[in-house]
Amino acid sequence: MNDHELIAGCIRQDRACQEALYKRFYGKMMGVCLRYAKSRDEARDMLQEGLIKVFTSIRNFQGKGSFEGWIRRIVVNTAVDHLRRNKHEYMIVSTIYAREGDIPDQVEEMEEDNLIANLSEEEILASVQQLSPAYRTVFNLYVMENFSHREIADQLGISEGTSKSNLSKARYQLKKNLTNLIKNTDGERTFTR
Amino acid sequence: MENGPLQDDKLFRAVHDRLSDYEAPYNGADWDAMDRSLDALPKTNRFQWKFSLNTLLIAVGVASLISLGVFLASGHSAAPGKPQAVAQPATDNNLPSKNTSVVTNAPPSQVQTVNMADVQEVSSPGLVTGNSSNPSPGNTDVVQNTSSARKTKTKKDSGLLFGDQIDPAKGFIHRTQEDQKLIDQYANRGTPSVYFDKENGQLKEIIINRDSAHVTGIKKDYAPADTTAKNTPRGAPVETEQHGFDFN
Repeated sequence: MNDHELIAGCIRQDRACQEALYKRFYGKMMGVCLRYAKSRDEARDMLQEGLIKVFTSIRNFQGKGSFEGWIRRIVVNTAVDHLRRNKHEYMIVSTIYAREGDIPDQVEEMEEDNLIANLSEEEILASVQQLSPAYRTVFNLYVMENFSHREIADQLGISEGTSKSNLSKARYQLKKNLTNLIKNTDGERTFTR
Repeated sequence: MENGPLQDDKLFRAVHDRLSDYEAPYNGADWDAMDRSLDALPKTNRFQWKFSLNTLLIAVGVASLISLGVFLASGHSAAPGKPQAVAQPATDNNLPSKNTSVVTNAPPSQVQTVNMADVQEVSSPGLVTGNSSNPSPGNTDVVQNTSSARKTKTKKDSGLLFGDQIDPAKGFIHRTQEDQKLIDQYANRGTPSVYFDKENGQLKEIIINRDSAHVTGIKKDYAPADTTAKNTPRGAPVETEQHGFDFN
């Protein structure tokens, strides 16, 4: 079933077509949501909410651009809205993490491009999920969605300076998480040997 | 990578490359939850529009039928030879608002406007007077009730609204819309107490003075409608033109 047939079926609210669309895009869209969420349960809620929007507004898809890109934009916006709705928690946690991030830490200097070479996607994803919601959101929008700081500022209702600051701290925290993960992994491997 | 700084950031680039094509493993339980969510959703907008359109069409149709029915009913009642409501200007300019349009079954030529303000009750048939210059035939003394003693309860007391349908000699000559008991009540009284004043074309309730030979004065509660008596206080005895009455 191609995209056109899938879309036509979803417009008719054909449940088989809806299930087919769900299965087809579940993996990628769940991967997106896992990056924005702190847990799998939260990611699943984001995905369900986003795909409900897809099903209810699929009639509005005009065929300009890829269908997957259209769904992805809806899911990303839904994830950002989800975080924005929990802004209270978002801000508190962000402050705590910010203080931690301000403290210089001795992160072992490694080749950054080789830092994650031996890590699986799930391990990298877990490191991203350990970021505070504020850092994680800016990281996702800037690194994964290629937003500019101006766009991030508009999207989140913050200043460009805050966006840049959060990205810098996100980078520092992410590198620290990955380094710790590698150290633990190496230790376990050494211990296993 | 379109962002400039990101091109120089090896860590971000490496993470982007590893996660951009990441696909989470499928979980069937998630579809079950989605299936339930879809069941809970309202039906499509198309159905709602269709339903709304049908409802609107039905409502418009019903409204059209009602309007047509009202139009036909009003046209039927206004057809020639049918009873019509004719409102004539008041003869008494002081009381323009008290004219009452009366719908009757009588021919249009006999349909008149009754100035209810001029139709008064006289409780005592013996106390009569008036300014009518045209007494009824049969040497009957009549009184046209005065404007100062206007009482709207005339309708309530006499009960008759269609005095033009009553002939002085024949009684009821047209079918009226009055209550049958009321018609019988007046018909059984012999000479009706309501007459049509042919002279001035006005329908007026004219009270027959059954004891006109012994009229001794004007009932004090009533003042004549004569313009000369306008300033007379209500209830005060008023002298009016004599029309064959013998005032003491």
